[in-house]
Amino acid sequence: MISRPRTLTALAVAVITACVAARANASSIVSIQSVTVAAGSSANGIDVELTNTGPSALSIGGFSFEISIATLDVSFTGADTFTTAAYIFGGNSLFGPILAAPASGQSLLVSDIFAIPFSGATLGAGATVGLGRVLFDVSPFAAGGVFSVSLTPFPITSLSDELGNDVPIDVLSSGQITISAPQPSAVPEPSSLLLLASGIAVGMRRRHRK
Amino acid sequence: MFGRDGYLYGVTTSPPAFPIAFRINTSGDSYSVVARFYNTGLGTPEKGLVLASDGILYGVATLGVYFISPVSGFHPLYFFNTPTDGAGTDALIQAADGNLYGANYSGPGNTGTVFRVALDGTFQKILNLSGATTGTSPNALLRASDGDLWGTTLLSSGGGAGGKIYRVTTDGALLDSTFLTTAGTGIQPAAPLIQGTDGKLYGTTSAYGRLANGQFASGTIFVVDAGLTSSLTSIAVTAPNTSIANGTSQQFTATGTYGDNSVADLTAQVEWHSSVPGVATFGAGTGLASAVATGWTEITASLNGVTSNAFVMTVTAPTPPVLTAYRVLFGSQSYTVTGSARKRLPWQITGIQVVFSKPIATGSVTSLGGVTATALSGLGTDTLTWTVPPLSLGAFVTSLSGRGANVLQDAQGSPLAAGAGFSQDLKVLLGDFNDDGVVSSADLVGVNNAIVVPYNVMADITGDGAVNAADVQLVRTRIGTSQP
Repeated sequence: MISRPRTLTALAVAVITACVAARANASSIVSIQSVTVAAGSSANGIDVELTNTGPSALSIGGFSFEISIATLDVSFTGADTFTTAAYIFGGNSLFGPILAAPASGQSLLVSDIFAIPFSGATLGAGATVGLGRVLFDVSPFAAGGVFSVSLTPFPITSLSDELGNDVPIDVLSSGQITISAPQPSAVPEPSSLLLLASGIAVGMRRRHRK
Repeated sequence: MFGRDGYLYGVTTSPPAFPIAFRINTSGDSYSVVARFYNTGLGTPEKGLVLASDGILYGVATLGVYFISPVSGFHPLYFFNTPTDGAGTDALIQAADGNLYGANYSGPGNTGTVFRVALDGTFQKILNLSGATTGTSPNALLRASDGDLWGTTLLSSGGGAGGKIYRVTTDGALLDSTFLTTAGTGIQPAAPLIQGTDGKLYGTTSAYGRLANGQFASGTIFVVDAGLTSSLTSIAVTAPNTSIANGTSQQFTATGTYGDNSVADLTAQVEWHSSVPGVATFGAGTGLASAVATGWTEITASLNGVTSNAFVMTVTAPTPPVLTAYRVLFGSQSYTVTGSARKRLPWQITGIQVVFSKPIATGSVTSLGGVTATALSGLGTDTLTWTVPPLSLGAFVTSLSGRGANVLQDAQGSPLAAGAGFSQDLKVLLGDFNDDGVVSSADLVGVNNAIVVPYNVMADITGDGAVNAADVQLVRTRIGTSQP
């Protein structure tokens, strides 16, 4: 009986240690922020973000990513630097604010670098920055539903430090685009119309008798 | 007389060994008899030998002309018909026309003759001497800088008996003559004239009249100032290389130096000679030696009796062309591929340019294998350029043919690398600045950084000679590509 609490404690310590170790190894995550949009909407935006999950600061001189979705009802049209989280190269973007030429398709390649050679943006431990807002349109005929949006692995999605060395990406986190179905319009059924017509006829007859 | 083999040659006239010709080296420790005149019909050799432009020694004996060849040895060349030709008395000379000339004693009237004998033995008497016109008992002739033959005679008649100085053309026309006098020049010259570097002629006599102190002089040295130009004193033969490949040729230059120290290019005037014609030969008067076999030969030039230094030229087996540089062309730039220092080329390749050790005379557009070329330029030079369709991605094993229908070979027919040809691996990934096999944002940052540092051809992705925003933009379009 005495040994059971010790076993549980040891197990808990092991789990915590494993989690800490995993976090210590993972230094960066590129993730897609999920959004909900309506069918038939246009110029929607979905953010791609970079989070420094490591214990020390991260210097980034450039990045690239490719975002993809399977459904043909979503069409990516471009990308810019107007992200919800602060844009990674705010004020020093070489390509911004438009990060991708106008396009139409189910995938889009986006890239940018720090405008000053041999310099980069510094992300403190735990910091999150925007890598770009991807703009997209939704078909008015789209069925409602949840659609996964993914990032293409290295080398298409990549990070570089200010000297041009690859910075490993530990996690590519997909996101979702939720398309809400259009609200159906109120159309009377035939039986209701017949009842309504009967009521009107009775009313008019009673008024006539008076 | 120095022969071209470095030995001294001479003749003797007296017993006990009977007349012979011999050779001896300059250190005196190598001596041999090269000719025995006994029972040859030539009689006794007179005076010295002359080294003619063909490298053969020629001499006069009392009864004929002979030669000593370093190849075939001793042979008679011509036997005098003494009643008409006279008999040999002094050494021969070689004139500018290549023929040998000599003056004999005896002959018609017993007064002597002047004759010409070609190197092939063709003989012609060109003048009968006489006591009144030229004097008699002649000494050897001198070919002076005016091209004429000048001679002296021991005796004469009419106007003095002390001999004369005379001048004749190589056709035998007597131009003028001058009596030697006891009170003036001295008489009875026993040696030929020589021409000084100042153009004047100098001679000696063996008798003279009474001196101012009342004593008789035994002889004189006299000078004849005929207004002749300075004589040619030496010829220097030069050429760019001491060794050339068989089947090739080399231009020689002959530079003459005159008595007044002036120099002149005599390349077109001299007679060129190769000691071993089987190794190298000359065209007429050009100084261009053509190698025809491996070995060595001595090249000399002769003019007016002056022979140059011997230029030893070695003819080697033909050397096959080899590759000295392999370049890829992109944009307006080129890059020399060396070893495996870099695995991948970050440009769009549009041509292959190869530099060889010597001009390539034969080749074709299909001599380059591994990629399909569309054009070839530069044949006849040492640099060939193949145009290829733009290559942006892929691994190619390019090859240059050393045999077969597409062989690359020089003008002598020597194939590339003696038939081995050449091959070069090429891996191309447009935009891969950092040579890691993929194009990513790291290449984008690297090329952007290269804008502000000295020119780095690896960052000149467009190949326009500069690293700028255009290179960054081109890399951007290539992100995600990788070598298969």
